[in-house]
Amino acid sequence: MLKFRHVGHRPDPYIPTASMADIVFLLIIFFVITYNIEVDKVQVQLPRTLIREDVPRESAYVSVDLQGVIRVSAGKETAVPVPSVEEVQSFAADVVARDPKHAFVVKADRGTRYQVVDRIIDALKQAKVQTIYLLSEQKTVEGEG
Amino acid sequence: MKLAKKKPSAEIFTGSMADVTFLLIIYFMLTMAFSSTKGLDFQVPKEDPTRSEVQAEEAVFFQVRADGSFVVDNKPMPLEQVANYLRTKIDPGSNPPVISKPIILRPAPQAPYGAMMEAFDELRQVKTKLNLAKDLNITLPTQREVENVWGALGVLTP
Repeated sequence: MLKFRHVGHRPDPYIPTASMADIVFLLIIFFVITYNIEVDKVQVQLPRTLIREDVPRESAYVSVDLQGVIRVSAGKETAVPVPSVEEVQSFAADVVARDPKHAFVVKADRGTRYQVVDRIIDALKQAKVQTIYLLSEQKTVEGEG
Repeated sequence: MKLAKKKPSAEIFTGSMADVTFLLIIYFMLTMAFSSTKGLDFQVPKEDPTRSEVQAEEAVFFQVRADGSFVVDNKPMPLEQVANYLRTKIDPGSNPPVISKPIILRPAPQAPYGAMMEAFDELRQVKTKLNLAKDLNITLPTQREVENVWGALGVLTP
């Protein structure tokens, strides 16, 4: 039986990766544009809702955790703790004085007693805040998230 | 005799570029996945000096009790039945249907915030469920407002 031997040049098993950097850069540009800097890194169990609206960029944050610690941020800098709700009102009044339409976000743990959130909302109302967002996470149809 | 100088190659080494950019992508993906930037919006009503009187019987009174249960117009009610109950509050003869009565959401001070948000979310969905022409007029009075203003008008007792 006659056997043919492959004599020609055999191609190297090479995967071209030259375009990988381009693809990855495109992905990075996408992430940089859509990235929101998290000014408040407090870990809380957010309440779950079906209706959720996008929070405007650089909104001011007022967060409260299960221990009742309140933190505030005007939207650009990292959130700092404040000793009392009265401080929230003066902080909010200061932000509203600079920009009357500045949106505020209330980030509270779902287990927090409502009276704590009530006092924060009241402080924001007294500071003449126009729009308040109550931060939530997506509720699934089954309701178990 | 001159020795030939070895010329360095004019190439920028880009072999590790993909590694660096992949690390950046992993960072962005991880930090994005854990940040929540959505929530229920709540427009604070502007003060209207022309409207000084509120009739108690005009409003639907929605309470959230300390144990997280719900009471609508003094009747205990699971959230699933709220939309059906509010169907009876549609303005007679309105087409498309409209509920002009304000909904007063009043959670107990000891109620969990999560329960209040469930109630608020359910009320916001009523527009879609009943095909209403406009959003419900949901009011969320604070304790101070209840004591100072609403109480004086005889609408709610603190």
